[in-house]
Parts: sequence; structure tokens; C-alpha cells
Amino acid sequence: MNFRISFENTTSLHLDNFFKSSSISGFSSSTKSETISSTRFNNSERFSLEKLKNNKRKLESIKNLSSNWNGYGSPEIEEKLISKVQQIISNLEYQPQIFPTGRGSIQIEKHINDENFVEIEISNDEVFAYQMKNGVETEKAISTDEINNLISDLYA
Amino acid sequence: MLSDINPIIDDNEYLYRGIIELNWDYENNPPSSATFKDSKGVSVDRDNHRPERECIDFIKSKKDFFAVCKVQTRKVIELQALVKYQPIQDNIYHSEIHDSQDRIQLRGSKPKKIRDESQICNR
Repeated sequence: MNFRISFENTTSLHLDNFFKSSSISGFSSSTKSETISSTRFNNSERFSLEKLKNNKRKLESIKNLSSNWNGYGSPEIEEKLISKVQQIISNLEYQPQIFPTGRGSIQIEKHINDENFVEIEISNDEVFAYQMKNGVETEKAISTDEINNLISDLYA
Repeated sequence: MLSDINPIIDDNEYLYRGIIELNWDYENNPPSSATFKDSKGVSVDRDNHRPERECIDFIKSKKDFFAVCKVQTRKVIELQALVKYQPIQDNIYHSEIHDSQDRIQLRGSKPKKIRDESQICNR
């Protein structure tokens, strides 16, 4: 039986459950061919609903922070920014860790090992990424559209 | 308050920073580098040759932090960041880590590299 599935315009969480519960031994994507042995497809973290829920809970905690929450005079994190981050993480293939910063921004980060990780600081004005990919460092301002690729590339 | 603290921070002095639980990285090396991202420079307490226990007790007298970390001034300078002694009314040890002479906020790799050089000394 030949399965051909498009990853564009699909609800990824449903797709992930589908693959986990099915006995399909191989498939191909219309946008990018990958085998079932690919790290991406075997990674249980991928489209983890549990991690997404945990992150949303953490954002709720961040929403409740009052000024000087870190003991060093940090401002509250604006609800507008929290909503922005909520929207961003809902569309990510891999859930990052989320941390508030003392300058009113929110940092999302994913750490695979010392040579492969990414830290992305999201503020109302800018998204700034510090990435280490196979030991090569990059620092740059990025658009929100680039966040998913930046994190997913760590698993490629 | 006048003090006789040397305004020049010795390279061997440790800089202490309190950490709240939301910035504790349970999956990797704690704390998250977000701990070192602050708009007015990263506030730290220089040790000024005090015993570690005294430094920790002092920092925790301001807030019951989840943990306290320390980083040596030399390590911060090696990362091309600046350490400035900036005493304030209720803290004669208060100092700040700045990105550079021209820029206050740490950015890019520096917060993580400082985090990597830091040690947890109280939890």
C-alpha cells in the first residue's frame, strides 16, 4: 500500500497521533521525502500536545507576574506579548522551553546538546535568535515565520 | 551611605545573582540564560571578599530566591562584557554587568556564555 500525505494544510497534532497509532511502515511527504527512520519522525517530542499544554500553563504563570517579579525591578510581561508567544508556540513542530526575562521579553529555547541549540528572545519590537548549529554560532534578528524552522532544523 | 569599598572590582571576586524558579531550567543546565537578560544591565552583588555564606544570606535577605548563582568577574571580562560597581542606597555591593562600553543590555551569546560560566551556590 502506498501512502502519500501532504504536510501542508494539515493539523499536525492529529497527524502525529495518526502515525503513532497506525502500523504504517513508511510514507512520503509531497513537500519533502523522508523515511520513517528519520530522527524527525521518530522523535516523541514532535507535536507533543503535553509539552504544548505545559508551555501554555507556563505562559499563564508569566501573565500573573507582577512588577519586580525577579527581585531586580523587572517590569510585568505585557499580555500582548504573551498572546504573541502563545500563537507562535501553537504552530511549532517542537515545543521549546519558555522563560521570562528581566527586560519584559520572553525567551524560548531548545537545547539538544552543547553544539546544537537555539535561544530566541521575543519582544514586541523584535525577535532575536542566538543559534548554535553543529558548533557554528549565529546571532541575528529574525521574523516570527522563521522560528519553527530554526527549532526544527536542530532535529534535521 | 559612605563605604570604603574599592570601586575597582577585583578579577577574582565573585558576582552573585538570585534566580527565581520560573527561570530554573529543569531540562538542561540551570538557570536559563534569561536570568542574565535585564534592561538596565544585569544586577549582581560583588563579594568584596566576603565569605560565600554572607553573600548568599545578604542576597536572600532582599528576596527569598529559589537559587543563587555566582560567576567570577574574570570570566565575565573574558567574554568581553563589562562589570561596573554601582552601589545603591540599600546595597553597597550592587554592581552591574553590561554588554560593552556602548551597550548596556547583554545580547546574543553573552547571556548564555555567562550562564555557562556560573555556578549554583545555593538552592
